[in-house]
Amino acid sequence: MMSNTLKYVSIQHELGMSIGVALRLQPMLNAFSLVCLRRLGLAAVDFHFLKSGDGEPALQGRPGSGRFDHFCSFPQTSKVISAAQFSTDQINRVSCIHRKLSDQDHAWHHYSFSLGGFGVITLQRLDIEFDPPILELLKPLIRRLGLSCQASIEHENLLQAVAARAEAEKTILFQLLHDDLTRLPNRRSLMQELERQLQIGQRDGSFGALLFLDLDRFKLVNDTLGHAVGDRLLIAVAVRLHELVGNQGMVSRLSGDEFIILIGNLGCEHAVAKGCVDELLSVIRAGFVDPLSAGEHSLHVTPAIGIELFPDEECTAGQILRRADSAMYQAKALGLNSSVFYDRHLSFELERRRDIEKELQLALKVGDQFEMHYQSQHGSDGECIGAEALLRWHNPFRDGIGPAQFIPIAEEAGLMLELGAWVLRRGCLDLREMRRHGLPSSFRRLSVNVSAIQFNHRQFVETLIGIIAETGVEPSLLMIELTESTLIGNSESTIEKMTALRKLGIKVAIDDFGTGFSSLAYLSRLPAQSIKIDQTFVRNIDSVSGKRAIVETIVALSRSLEIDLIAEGVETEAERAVIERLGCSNYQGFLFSRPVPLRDFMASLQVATD
Amino acid sequence: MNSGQQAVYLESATIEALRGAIDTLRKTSARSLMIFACEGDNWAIRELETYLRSLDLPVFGGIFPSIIHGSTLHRNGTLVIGFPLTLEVAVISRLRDQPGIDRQLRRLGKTLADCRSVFVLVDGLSTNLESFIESLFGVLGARAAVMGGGAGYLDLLQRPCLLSNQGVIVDSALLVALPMRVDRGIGHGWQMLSGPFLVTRSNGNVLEELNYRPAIEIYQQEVEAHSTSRFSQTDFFSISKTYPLGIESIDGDFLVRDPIKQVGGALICVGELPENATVYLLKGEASALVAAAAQAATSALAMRETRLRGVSAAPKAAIIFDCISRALFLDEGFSDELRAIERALPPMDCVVGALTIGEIVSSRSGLIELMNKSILVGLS
Repeated sequence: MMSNTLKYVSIQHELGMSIGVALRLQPMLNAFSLVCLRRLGLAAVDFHFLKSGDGEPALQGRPGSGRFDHFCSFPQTSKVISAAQFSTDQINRVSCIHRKLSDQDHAWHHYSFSLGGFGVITLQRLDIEFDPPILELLKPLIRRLGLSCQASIEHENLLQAVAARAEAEKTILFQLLHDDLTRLPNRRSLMQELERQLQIGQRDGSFGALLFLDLDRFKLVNDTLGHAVGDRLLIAVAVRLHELVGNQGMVSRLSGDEFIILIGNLGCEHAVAKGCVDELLSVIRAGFVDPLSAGEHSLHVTPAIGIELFPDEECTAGQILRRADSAMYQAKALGLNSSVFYDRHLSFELERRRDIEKELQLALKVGDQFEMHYQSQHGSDGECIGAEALLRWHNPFRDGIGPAQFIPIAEEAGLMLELGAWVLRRGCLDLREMRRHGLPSSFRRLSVNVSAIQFNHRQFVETLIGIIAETGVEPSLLMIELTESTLIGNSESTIEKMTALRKLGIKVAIDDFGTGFSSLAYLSRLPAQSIKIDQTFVRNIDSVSGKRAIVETIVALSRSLEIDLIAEGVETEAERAVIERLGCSNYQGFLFSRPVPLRDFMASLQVATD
Repeated sequence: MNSGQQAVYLESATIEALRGAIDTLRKTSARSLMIFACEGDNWAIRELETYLRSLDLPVFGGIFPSIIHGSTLHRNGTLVIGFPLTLEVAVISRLRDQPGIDRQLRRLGKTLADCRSVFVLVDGLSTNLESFIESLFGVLGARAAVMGGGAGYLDLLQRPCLLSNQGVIVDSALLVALPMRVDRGIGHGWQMLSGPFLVTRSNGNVLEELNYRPAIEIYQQEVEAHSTSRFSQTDFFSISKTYPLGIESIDGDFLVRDPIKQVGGALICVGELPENATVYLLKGEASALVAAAAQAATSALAMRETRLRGVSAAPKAAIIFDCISRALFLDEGFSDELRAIERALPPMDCVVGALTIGEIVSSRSGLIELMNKSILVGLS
């Protein structure tokens, strides 16, 4: 009897010392189970727990579940058993359920104990049952084990929360430096790496290269197959580039269909570095020979590539990127699948245009760099019959850039719709201001220039109606000036739109008349109310007889079509006199006034009225 | 093991003799081979290795201090046993590398999945044996019956001792999956002398403290209190071979741990003594050890009868793994142990065995244990 007591105390001591030797649940149970297996002569130990929604052991189970799920067994390969079913009374105290099962070789005794109401431990023993005192000595140990499990589960919950936070931080950091769509490094990441490579190059005298890739005709994919396919194509391109470049360099996505390949350590010889890039270009070209899969579509794309080798003098990272960008534009101009190394002479004008384009984008965002100036129009008695609204851009980066310079760039860059809408709205707001301030009775119209892109847009009429409604100006005071070239082509829809404007009371003038090639028959079909004789015919008309003949023809035409006529660019009294004599009695030009800001224009109207 | 295996005993340790024995066994449909060799024959390892590698039959076995054939102990000679089955033999190498053991065992999942018994032969002088056995249990559980022992040399110097198709290997284990159940009996006969003592500090097989005092102090004090032996006058192992330590199991039996060396205040044992365990000092008496051997044989028979539920099926073969330290302790009386086993068993075609350095067996509870100073009898 005494001998057994010592044995039991010794077992209790050894098992007790093995509880809670680790903080994490699994290692803690592992340590306890190994001692249990050896000391209690077991075949296996199994643990079942309530589980949370994400399948982890929990102190409270999923709502409505209340079921114990298998968590782990020792040995791990033992057959998974089901947990014993405890009654409500049994589950909240340490009680033991003994089950006996048999197979061909053995009787299996399963002793299950409740662990703090949230788990069950089952001790499996072969053939030999436990003596009852053993079960009693185990109960206080199981109670302690339950507390230890509770502490471990709480600890695990805390660890999971910490891990989730760390994961979230990692995700944020990743997102900060990577592109969401392709998961390639983004612009920020690229610029950091470029700065680093630049420093290495400047320190060691070794060359690096930045390859600016833009996919040829990518817009067509987006427009015809949709953005979802476009996105898949971009992902496929990212993967392909990554495969092609490998560890040689860094592939990043700048925006849209623009990718950058940055490679460093190309040696100290310019020719060698260029040779390396040429090799890479061959690899890239070969890599885009086969079509790429974008969802169900198999698409063939090619990149236009602009390359800048660096370092070059004191060139900054930003300048390197811009130079490669310019070279890429030159490559685009050469046709599909082209590549061009940056050449400062060839690229100067292109770079200037790219800069202006970017400045225009910025100006449209901030909105306060544009202003409308007004140049008055006069009748035969000198009375003010209207004004032309002319756009001015106060560019903080460069002085004196006129519409003739920036409007074509805006058109090419696809900014004309936005810019044109701004001009229309500003013109209407200013017209409202003029009305409020007081207009002379002779004032019949404010002319606003509308570009071909703007006029041909299918929403143009609706946009204009919206602006008129928003600003509350009288449509009859508004005149839209369209160039002759705008009216060529799209004849039916042009006529429809002009008719619609006319019905609304808005006048339409044909600007720069005589410079285009429109046939008289076509002109006769256009519901225009006014023709503007281009200033090239007006300049020095008093001394150049050829110009007089042209103007005479235009006057005759306007009379036959019963269209109003105005001559622009009238700078001298001699010019005005000749034009009047030929039959045109409305004028615009420096002879009367230069284009002036709204306030000055209104002041001039006031003076004339007084 | 299966009915139908044949054993050939060779007195001569030559490749020619071995080849002749194997050719003979092939003619009786042997499809796998077990070879138990004696260290006393000083086999030419390189030649033996070349021959084993050239064999087209699965082969497993070891070099032991002595081998058993029938009721005779041989300090020389070789036993070649042919099995009429193609057995799968897996080699687990580099036992000192625990992560490597786990990786190798995991890969054996399929080999071990359906077997009902597993023979395990290990390099008995490998460190980390206990962890290997723990990992093996992790893979097998209580599903398969395990028995086996440690091969090696009596001078306790580790060198190649396991025989396999890879040659003669060291620091390894051989696992042989058997499709039939092997019934087992285990015994030792060592009896409690004093205790219990609490293991207050240990590291694997190094027992550093008992009852918060250097282990050697307690051990010496207790042994000298119960005997006329004096550590100051006698070699440590000469005394300790008679006084092992034992961890009492829950069912009242002892797991014997053999102190083989003293280093400072610590005792170096064969097998682990975990911290917080309680241990007893055991003593040996020849008659008790011999009786335990007979009991092991009787237990194996009883297990067989229980398993077969009374259906008469006399075993045809027996395998014995008997600890070398029992032979050293019993000395001339060891033949009594083998005779006692023979008397306890019915007549059989094939009784083979070896003196081992450590015994490995699935205990009655299902756990696989590394034992010392014990005897295993397996029947099929």
